[in-house]
Amino acid sequence: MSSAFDSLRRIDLPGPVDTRFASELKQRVGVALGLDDASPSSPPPLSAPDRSTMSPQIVPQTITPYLCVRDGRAALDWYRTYFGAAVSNVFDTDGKVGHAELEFGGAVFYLADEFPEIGFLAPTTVGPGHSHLMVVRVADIDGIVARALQGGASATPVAEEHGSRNSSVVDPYGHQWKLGSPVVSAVEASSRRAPSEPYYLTLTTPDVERGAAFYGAVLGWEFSEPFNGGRHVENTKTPIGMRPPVNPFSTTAPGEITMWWVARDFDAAVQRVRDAGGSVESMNTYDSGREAVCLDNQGIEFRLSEPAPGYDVQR
Amino acid sequence: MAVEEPEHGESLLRLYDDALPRVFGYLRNRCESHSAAEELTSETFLAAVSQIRRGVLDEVTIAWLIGIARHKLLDHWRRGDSRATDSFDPALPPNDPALHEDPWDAVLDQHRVAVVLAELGAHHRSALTLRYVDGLPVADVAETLGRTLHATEALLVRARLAFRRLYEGSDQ
Repeated sequence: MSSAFDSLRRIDLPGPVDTRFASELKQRVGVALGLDDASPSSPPPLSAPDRSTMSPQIVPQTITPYLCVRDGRAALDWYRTYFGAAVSNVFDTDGKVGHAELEFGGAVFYLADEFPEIGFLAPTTVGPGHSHLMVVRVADIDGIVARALQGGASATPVAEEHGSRNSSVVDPYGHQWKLGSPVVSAVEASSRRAPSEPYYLTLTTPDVERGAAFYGAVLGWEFSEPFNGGRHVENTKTPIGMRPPVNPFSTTAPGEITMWWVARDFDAAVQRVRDAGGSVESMNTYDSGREAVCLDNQGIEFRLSEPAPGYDVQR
Repeated sequence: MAVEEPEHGESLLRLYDDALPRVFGYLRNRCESHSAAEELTSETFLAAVSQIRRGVLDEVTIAWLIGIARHKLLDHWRRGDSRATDSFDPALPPNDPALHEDPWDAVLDQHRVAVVLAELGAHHRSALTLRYVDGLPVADVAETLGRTLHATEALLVRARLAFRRLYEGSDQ
């Protein structure tokens, strides 16, 4: 009797729990138990995805591909492992996957095992050829293709077409995908980089001791012991130095302010100086990191720095 | 007066990282929204704490927490059911034709299953969820709902009929 109802059986996968919700609730539970030394929770185990990247809210999607596979349970594992899909709402029907939901590439897919009685058949059953393929934009085409190949998929080499770097992938369950990441132009890429922050600046003063006395009184700067004829300011967010016109490294004019800007991708940044019409006068390496002395496209000097470990902290 | 078991509190905190995704996963698969599932998850753990404090507990396990979650879910549906639901299903007489339903061996569309379940009254939805979605034996369904076995069987008969009527109606 009522055998159709047996297909309502649900297999519950753990999570996905929001990590902040998890640690706040743990705190509340600890307090309620009077064990309020409860440490904040580590991120939950298993593959609880971060909500900020997977959007559990309903995706405004008006068409949902319903994939048919042989061995649905293994297929869910495969898509989770190799496509990084989030799996949810898995229903069991007579030991088969009656329904499951996958989210990847910002889209939702349904998936179920074969049901030959209603003509729901996997591509591997139907035979060669495809009636359709699924075009999905992904964040990291090279990474996903490399993983899919490891997982036994076949894939064409990633190639650029129509402003996107694409690969045609056939997964082990016979589904065909066209996966691609948009090509980012050099201009776009450079505008997307985080802007460089000040790394260090020096003020050249004829007499460092008099300068330190003056700026200490006026601006509240506190100075280090002298070294190389100069002094560091020790209590500002951006490190500052006061230097004499001549030190072991260079000569500067009194009153001159010399700026160093942070360049984490140092070699690429040096190349960008040249590409943008500037020039690189010299490259130096100090304990604090690499430095490039540059002129901008109007001949004004500035310096790029690649902070050495330990020097990379704004105070 | 019950004696509080401090070890149970510590066990709950130790179990928390493993138990939380399980409890949440259970609720999320039966709830209409992520936020409702989080709310019920919180209620579940706080109710677990008060059971521990009342000292009425043998062992802290995930199954015990899921049991609490199940009650919280049923309460949630009852609260959200605006209809004055028939919370008491009288037992059907043994010769009631409803007891002899036609076997129904349709292949159900799981997506529509969820919609139809949500449209049912809270008591029907609860009974079908416990019996079929959770896969509990009828005796456990009866215990969870606080009904007799016979009343529960009758409730399940009515719930199945209501479900089937709605489901087949929604097919058109």
